[in-house]
Amino acid sequence: MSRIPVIFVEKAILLIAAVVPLAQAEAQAGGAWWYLAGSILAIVVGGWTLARNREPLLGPVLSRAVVLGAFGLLVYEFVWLRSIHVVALSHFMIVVCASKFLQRQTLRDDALFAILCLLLLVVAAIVSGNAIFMIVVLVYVTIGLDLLIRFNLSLERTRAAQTLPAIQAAPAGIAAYENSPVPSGSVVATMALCALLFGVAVFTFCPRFGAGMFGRPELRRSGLAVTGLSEDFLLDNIAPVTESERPVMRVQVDIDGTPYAGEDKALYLRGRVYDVYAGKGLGRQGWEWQRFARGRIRSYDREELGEDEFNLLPEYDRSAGEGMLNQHYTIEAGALSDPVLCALYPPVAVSSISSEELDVIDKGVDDQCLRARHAIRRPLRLTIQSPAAMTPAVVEALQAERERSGHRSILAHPPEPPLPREDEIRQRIAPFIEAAGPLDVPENRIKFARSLVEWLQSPRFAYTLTPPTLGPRTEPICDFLLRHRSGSCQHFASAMAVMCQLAGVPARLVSGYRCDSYNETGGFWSVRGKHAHAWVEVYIPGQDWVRFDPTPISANRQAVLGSWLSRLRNYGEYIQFTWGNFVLAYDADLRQDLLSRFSEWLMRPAHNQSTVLGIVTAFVYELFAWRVQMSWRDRLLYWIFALLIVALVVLIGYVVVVVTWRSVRWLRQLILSRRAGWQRAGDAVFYYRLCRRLSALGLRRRPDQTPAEFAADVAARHPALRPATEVVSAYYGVIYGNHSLSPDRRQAFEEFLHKLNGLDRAALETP
Amino acid sequence: MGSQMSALADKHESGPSRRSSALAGLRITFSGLLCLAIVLLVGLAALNIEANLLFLLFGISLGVVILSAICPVLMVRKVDVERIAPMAVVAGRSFTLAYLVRSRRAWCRAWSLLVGEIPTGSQSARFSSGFITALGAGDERRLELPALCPNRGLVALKGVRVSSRFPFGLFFCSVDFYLPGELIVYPAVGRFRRDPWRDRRMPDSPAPHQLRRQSNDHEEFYGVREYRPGDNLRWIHWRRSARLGELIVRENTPARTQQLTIVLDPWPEFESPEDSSSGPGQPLSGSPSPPGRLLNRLSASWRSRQQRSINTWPDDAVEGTISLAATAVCDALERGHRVGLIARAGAPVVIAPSGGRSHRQRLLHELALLKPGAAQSLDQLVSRIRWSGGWHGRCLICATHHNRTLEHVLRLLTVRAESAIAIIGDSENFEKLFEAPSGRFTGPVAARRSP
Repeated sequence: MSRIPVIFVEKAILLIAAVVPLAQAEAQAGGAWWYLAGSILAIVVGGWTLARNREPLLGPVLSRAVVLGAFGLLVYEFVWLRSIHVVALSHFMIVVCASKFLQRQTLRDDALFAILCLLLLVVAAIVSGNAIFMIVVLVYVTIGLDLLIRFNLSLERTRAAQTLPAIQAAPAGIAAYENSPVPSGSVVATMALCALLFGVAVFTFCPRFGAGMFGRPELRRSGLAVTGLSEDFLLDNIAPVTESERPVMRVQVDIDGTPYAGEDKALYLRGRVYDVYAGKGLGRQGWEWQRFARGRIRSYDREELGEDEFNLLPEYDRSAGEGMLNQHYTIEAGALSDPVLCALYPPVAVSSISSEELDVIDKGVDDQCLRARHAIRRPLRLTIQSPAAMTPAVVEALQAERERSGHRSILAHPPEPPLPREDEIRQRIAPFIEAAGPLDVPENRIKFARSLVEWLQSPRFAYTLTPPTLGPRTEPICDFLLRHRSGSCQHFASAMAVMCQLAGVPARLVSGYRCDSYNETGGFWSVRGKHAHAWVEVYIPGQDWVRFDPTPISANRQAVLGSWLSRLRNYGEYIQFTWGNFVLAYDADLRQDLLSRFSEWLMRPAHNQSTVLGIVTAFVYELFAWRVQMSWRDRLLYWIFALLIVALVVLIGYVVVVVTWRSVRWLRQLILSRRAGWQRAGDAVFYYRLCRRLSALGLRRRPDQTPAEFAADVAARHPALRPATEVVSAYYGVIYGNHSLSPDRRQAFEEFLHKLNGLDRAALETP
Repeated sequence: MGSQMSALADKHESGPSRRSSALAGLRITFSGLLCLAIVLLVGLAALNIEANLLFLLFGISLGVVILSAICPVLMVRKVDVERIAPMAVVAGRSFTLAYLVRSRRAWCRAWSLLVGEIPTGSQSARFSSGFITALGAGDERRLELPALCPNRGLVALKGVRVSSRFPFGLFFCSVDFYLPGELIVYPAVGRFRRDPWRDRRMPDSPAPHQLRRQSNDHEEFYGVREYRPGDNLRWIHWRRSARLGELIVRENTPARTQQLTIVLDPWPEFESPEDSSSGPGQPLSGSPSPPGRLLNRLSASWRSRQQRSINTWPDDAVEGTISLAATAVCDALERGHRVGLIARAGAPVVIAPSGGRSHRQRLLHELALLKPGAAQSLDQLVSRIRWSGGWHGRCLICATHHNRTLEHVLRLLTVRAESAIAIIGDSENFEKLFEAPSGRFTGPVAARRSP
């Protein structure tokens, strides 16, 4: 049994490291994990055949068949499945890479494998948003570099062997890798560190010009989606609800700096509101919730406003309130498909939008939408402010805003047309109305609404993710209230809203997110797809719209905190949150923010200095004097930073000195050689003058003649031109021998040329 | 000349050399271009779709490319090379070139060094490259690499090139050490299938009874010595060689010392049909009238073109003849005879018969450097030679093809010397008599007789 070579193991690690983020990004599709499983299987089988010294599983013919099969799969995914192109290409590359483990290992295969792994990494960078990509990068800059070094050493050895005359080059087998020394881990680690630092520097300081330098796809529907719920709330054909763990967004909420724990450990992020429950009518079947004030939407252009934030409630004075809820959202790029902005009600201002693409906000009566013209591919960051409490000032401002938009009165809108069994429903709610009292009194309304909530949360109703399938003419709310009594949050909320409206109480259905997943490690709320929720808002005079959630409490899953698994998960989410905020959503604003905070931290010892010299002096003094109170960690960081700066200055200085010295030397040599050349060119002018003069006399050098042959020929035919041979000889010495002309010779040549000027053809022919 | 000859057998080492700049020798490879293209595409993609992870990937890849450009330069710096080459080698036989690679570094290794001769662009020699995986700081490594010179002559060695593609092969940096040198390549030495002086078909072969007497006391065993390049392989003592682990040859000494003069004409003079009425070497007759002068001029021009064509005949024919002469030299000297050489070439060679190791090297040296372009014919050359001791012994005429000049020389030498035979390259006897080394120079050159 032989040992599995190191390079085989390294290749296996690289392939798995590339496939995992791709599989994780495609987790919803489910098919990606098959590729990971197949890759692992191929690696195990290949390793087993190597260890047992057996023949590889795939011969040359089978290998080609596998590649053709993978290509066929690629075509199938492109044409029939209409998969995303890069994802389909990644599948093809994974199959080819996995098949390499089942073949005989050659240098050419290894080179192809390395290229494919690099391309897989590129695809993973495009589609993956997970923090696991950081581990993949670390694996590639360490193990990948080591693999490349080993491969290159073996290739060079083979190349040298191929120059041996009459010696056949050894096949590039595994042995070629194993019998040679390789750079130690420290060398590889140093290279990896250099590459990583360079990569981080480019990542940090590379300018972001905005997406689409070479064109970008238009969004089919404009807008920014944060809910995942459809625009039209249809109840009659609700499919089974899937509890998706896919992250939608992460929210950090604070009240003037203090973290906000939510109401009942939950955060209600309100999205769309629906006022009227209506049948589709006109021959169309089904019932849906509609927005009453759908047509009253105003658009605000950021450029026209000339401000960095959208003020959604101009009538409200934020400084005079009882504190503001500052919500910092990081919205996953994959969640951007539906144009609704979710926030704690009521949102007052939207600011710090990370993408310049979102420059228009469409505002309805009670909901708003941020619009983007093009697809946004990276996570979005923005900040929304809401009042911490619904004070009378807030209520007044909201009312003023409604009046400004033309929505003066808030009325109850019973279903249109009336529900099939509306009378029965009215009979069911009559006792609640009677118990509550006149419903125009705010307290009675609250009492009435709470009684409805209790009734719906009683055991007579059941929560289910798989509501029963209804007939085409069955009205869902009647069916829910009077027949099946089981449904999801949409049924409970719809039923309560309809019952309130039937009782004459203005109520509406609200869709958004109810998040109960608070990450204590990172201090943020992690909103996922499964947190999509529907509840009811009832209008209470003097308190504006008040939220009521009739869905049974058991269905509102509480996060189990405290167990080690939950802590581990929280820590993972925190890493993902940091990754998303500082890497995936990194932009020029964030860079500016980081730099300004870094410079503030750096300038702490020199806060009184204004000149560069003063700052440097204060900083250096602080390193030794310890005047400023700071933690040992900060001081250590200062020292590390100072040493890095010194090293950088020395390195830059060394490079500058070497480059300058070499440039000066090269320039000096160039100038000297040019001068010598000019001098020689000056000396050679006499030859060109001779040629011109001879040409004027009808004596021209043939193309096949050298200057010396020409001069000899001329001298032989015309005795008066005998000195021409000396002239050419001197010319050779000047041009090819780096000689200079002595003044005597120069004088002699001048005399000869002067004499030539006085000759003509007839004089030449005369013997 | 004598001191040079005495040093021929020794290897020579190259002294301090001029070296090129490492930075000037930095080049990008095809893999590097491909990698750079991919990296730039990734960068453009990152700018286009604003994917931050692609920016990170672009930065790391760019860092790797820059590392690839810096490391080869660092690897070839502070590395010195010295070449140890033999002064003379034999055509068609591989020989060893040794290189001493020394690192002047103080603290880190040099990786992936490829050492080889600087290419001269000619096909006169084939050199191999040596690979050093790692050269420690202050270490010295000796590389012995085989090389082969297929043709005789003078091979100019330009220098040694040390290159490195460490770590990823995206860039390579080479430093040239200018170590000019020369390798003299002796003609390939074959073997005689049989003694040419015993061939009955040879016109001037001795009588059979004389051959028998000669064969009985022709030579006697003298001793053994180590094999030297150029020795006849027939004289290898295989049993003793197997015992000692290296090639050993028998040394014989002739019972009676003979003198052999080898007359060599690899590029025979062109004889046109007009020369049939005149003897070789005599000028053409022509009338003084202008048409006659023009005719003479045209004829001379045509003749010189034809001669140039002869001088550039395929190497096989010429080299075969020279190899034959070299074989005769080595064979005769091994038998203890005294050998002289008369060669018609651009610079005619006339060496009086002598013996000994240095004389052998001298003869092979001259044979190695023969070039075409002789100004006088063979008979003119031979007729002007006056040995101090007279023409004794035998003469062996080696020529590429037969012509009347050769006949004349043969007649001349038959009269002057003890005996003379001619071995012609395009005759059937050539192959029957002479076995070329490693299948070289096979086949008669009858098809190439007439220019």
